[in-house]
Amino acid sequence: MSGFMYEVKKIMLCQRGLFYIALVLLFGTVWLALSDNPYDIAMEQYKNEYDWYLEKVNGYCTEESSLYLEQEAERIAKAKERQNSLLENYYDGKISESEYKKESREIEKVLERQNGFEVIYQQYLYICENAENRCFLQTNGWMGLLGKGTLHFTLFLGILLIVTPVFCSEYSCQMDTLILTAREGRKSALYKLLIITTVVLFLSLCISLIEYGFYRFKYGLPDGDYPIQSIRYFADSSKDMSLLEGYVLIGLLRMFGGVFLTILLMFISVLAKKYAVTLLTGAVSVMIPYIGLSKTGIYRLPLPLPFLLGTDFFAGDIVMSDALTGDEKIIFAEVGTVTLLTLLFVSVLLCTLAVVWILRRNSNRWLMKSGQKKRGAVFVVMFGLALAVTGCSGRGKTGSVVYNSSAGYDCMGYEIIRDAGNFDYSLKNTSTGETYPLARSPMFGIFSDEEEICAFYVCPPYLYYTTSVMESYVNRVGNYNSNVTKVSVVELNLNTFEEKTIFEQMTNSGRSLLGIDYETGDKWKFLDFHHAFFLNDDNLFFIGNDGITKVNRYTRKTVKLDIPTNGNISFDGESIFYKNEQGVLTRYDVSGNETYTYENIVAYDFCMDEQSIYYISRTDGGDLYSCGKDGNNKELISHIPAMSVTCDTGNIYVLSKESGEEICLEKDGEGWID
Amino acid sequence: MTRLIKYEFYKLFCKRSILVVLILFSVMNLFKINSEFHSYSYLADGNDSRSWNSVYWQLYEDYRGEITVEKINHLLSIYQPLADATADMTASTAKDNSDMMTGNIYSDRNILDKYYVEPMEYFYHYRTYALQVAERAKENAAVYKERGQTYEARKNSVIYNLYSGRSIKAFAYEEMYNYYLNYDFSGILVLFLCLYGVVSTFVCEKETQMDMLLLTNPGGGKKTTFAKIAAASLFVISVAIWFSVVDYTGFAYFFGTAEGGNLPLYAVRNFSTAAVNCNLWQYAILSAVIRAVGVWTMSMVFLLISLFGHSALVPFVADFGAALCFIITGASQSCFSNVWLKIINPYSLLANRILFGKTEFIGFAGYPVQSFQAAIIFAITVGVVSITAMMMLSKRNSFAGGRRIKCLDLCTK
Repeated sequence: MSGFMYEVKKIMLCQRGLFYIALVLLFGTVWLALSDNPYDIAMEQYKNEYDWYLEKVNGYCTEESSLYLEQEAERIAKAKERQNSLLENYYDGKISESEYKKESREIEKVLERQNGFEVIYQQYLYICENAENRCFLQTNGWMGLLGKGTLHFTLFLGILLIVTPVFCSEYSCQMDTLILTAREGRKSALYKLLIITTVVLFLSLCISLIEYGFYRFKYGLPDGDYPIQSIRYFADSSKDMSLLEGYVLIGLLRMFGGVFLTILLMFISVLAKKYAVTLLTGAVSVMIPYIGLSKTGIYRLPLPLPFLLGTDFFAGDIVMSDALTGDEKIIFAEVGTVTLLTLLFVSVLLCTLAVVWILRRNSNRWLMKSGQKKRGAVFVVMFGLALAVTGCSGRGKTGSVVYNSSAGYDCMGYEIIRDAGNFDYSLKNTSTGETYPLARSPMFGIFSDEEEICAFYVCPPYLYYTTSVMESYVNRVGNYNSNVTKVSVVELNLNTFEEKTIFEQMTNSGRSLLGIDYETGDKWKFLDFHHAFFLNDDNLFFIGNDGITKVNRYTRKTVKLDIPTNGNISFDGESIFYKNEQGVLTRYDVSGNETYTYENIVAYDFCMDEQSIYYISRTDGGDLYSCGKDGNNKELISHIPAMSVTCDTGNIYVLSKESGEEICLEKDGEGWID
Repeated sequence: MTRLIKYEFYKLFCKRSILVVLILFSVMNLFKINSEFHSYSYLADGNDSRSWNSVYWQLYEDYRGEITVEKINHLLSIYQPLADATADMTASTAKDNSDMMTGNIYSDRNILDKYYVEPMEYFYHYRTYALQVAERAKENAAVYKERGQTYEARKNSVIYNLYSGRSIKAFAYEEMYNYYLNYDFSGILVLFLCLYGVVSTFVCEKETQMDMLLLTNPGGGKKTTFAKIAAASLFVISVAIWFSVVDYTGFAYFFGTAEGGNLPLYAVRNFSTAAVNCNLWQYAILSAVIRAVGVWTMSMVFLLISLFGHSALVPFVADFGAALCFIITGASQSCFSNVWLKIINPYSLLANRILFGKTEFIGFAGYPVQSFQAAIIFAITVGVVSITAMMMLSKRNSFAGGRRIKCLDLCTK
């Protein structure tokens, strides 16, 4: 067996190189699969609708595509308007059913892809900012692949594990001197360098290819020849390159970063001959600048870190305005091509010098001419060159209760009241008249006006409420994002007044951890805009202006439900009841994800309790009816034309269309029309 | 034993490489503190007579000390006309206005707003805020007592005692303390240095196979293990204290003042619901001690892991991975209300504002325990358990009794 093969066997088998490679690839892939979220959730959710429009405008924004999108926007707006008036006319008896159906079909055809249109229109607005180098394309795959800008910790730890023992293992048992006296002695170091460099290149290449494969499989990576500025992460970049070129270059830079770290570790291990020093230097050379320096600083240092990160070499300037003074401040200064090439040149030079020095240090003893002085000189030269060139939750408790977003709350004898002066919420005992602050923490909302209660949901004996709070300690725009906006769901036991937080989530898309800024996408943005919510044992449902978002309480997976929220939303623990776009009562089964339409119930408004649905019929001139949950047993309650209906435990409340007064009807049938 | 600990301390930690890393990290830390000052403080704009720095310290003499109605009225008499004049954003944007302190009307309004009006308003109103909390806590305690919720009643009584009587009577510069209390970078450096120091404690002798020889020595075996643990504890506590001193001195030096040390901890807005009633300088000392406890606990866990390694490689990477997990989970969970996660993570003790910044409790046998107290008890328990485990897992001295013969037999074979 040749000396080379002995080295391969030693590194791969004895020092568990193969095991670590497999471990890094496995962990890297699992982590990638677990941590990935689409950057633009709507683009993913309405993929087919979006793709339909994308086919028509794909590529650069031409006058035709611009005209098409503007016309389509107008057509959709008109169709929505026409839909509303058509419904009114139909239910008022001004047009026949056949006319209504005929026109409805045409309108539905226009509106069938409106969600996808909204996504592409947002993209159109972004492209219009600089139409010369931005194109229409599916961005989620490319954003995931290129727009992260964070360190691959598994690769970093893998390199530490694989590279450190290469020389250190021989120094620790003093085999190095023995090797130097052997005929193949000098070649041994060369073999080690070649093998380890190949391994690290292989590992970096595999990770890049796995990422490419993952995003291609999950979202697709089409139109790689479009400019890199087509995705928001590189919006203001002055680099003239395509997305695919960007991926290849970032991949190559990461591979170089891996090799740079490898050579640095080998250099230190030959210099210090100790595991601990080598590992510390490797860890510190990456982690300390990562945590301690601004991004602009990192990308101007001849260290492995900027290359391991790679992405921001091609990102543009990030400029933000200071909230207090209004001055503009550069958060990240773009790395010019000359700077990149200089940095690359210096880094390659440092690597070459380190390799030459490693090989010289591992020359056969009798060939060595001078020792200690040269080691120091090389170190000083390298260091000098470097300086010179660069600058929650509880399960199974929620009982059966019917929720109506437009109705009041039956809080077990308590009433939720809001102070007109300080806007604080309190619980008022309806029998004794005593009031208690709703938020049980004595500190809640006192020290910050931005700590507030957003919405309620009652499921006796529990009252749930959501709170929102914003915290920060640096109120100056800079290279550190200290703002944290947090939304929590709190469970209050109305019997004992015990309080427990069952869900908490930060909603900021741009976050900072120990000074490292990172993006999480807009996954939780909907929490900032929710105005009502309800829950069951498995899910939380947040109602916003543009729909309902279902959040799994255990996996935290979010799904946007295609439910209009302009009317009442009811929930009986299993199904969500709502009026669809045509005003027809619809039921959505949350566990089976099935939708059922009550074709015979067209309502202005509705509400429900455990047994019945109460609705104001649109087809019968605003009369109030009740029916069972299955839509049968229809019963007329009142002839008085009404606008809205709500109910509580004992009564139904209707708002009269004519007088504008609220009329109370008892559920047991008193005052009902027979 | 003291001599053995001394020898181990010299052998393990009085090394050139540790000294070099200590100096290097201290210098890095000072650079970082300097960059914090320049990044975040508006007073880092030089010493020009119209700079915010000069204007702030000129005005400071007029407003420092006890907050009085005269001072508030005087401040408002300067600030209000500026606020009114700039409210509609139509005032002159000239930067050389001789009537203005900084040369620009907006700039004058901004400096007064940020550095005088806002903090003084907060200081002045804090007494009312604290009183509201105390009253609510008192009401809560009565409500919970009525409902038989003993723990909640006790918890609210503790809150009442903590908040009743809180007030900020004097005005002082607190910006330096705000950034000092929110500074985490040195904690990471301390962890790295301690990791480097302790990871070799057991493995250095295994690498050179001196561990076998040590067992035949009268002072070897468990005695040496104990001495190593004691020396490592001494080292990590010294390093933690050293960096706390560097932090405080660095902040005071770069911000140009240590003014505001006599202000209560809750004078810093981030600590408005602070878990303790102490002054800022007292908290600086308390924070150094708590950080040392956190570093000691993590180091004892690192030591325990390194006991199983034959070289520094796997223990270092394992310890490094564990430290990263502690840091990332600790930092990402710091703003959430799950108190248990904060208590069991020793990183909370390193960046101890996570525990002291909010008044949070856990229930123990029906009694409320403040999160920082629980975290300290938990950390000390983990440390002691780690030491006990190390003592139990370390080999006995082969010098004593029959084992001596066995060892000799092994040698002759």
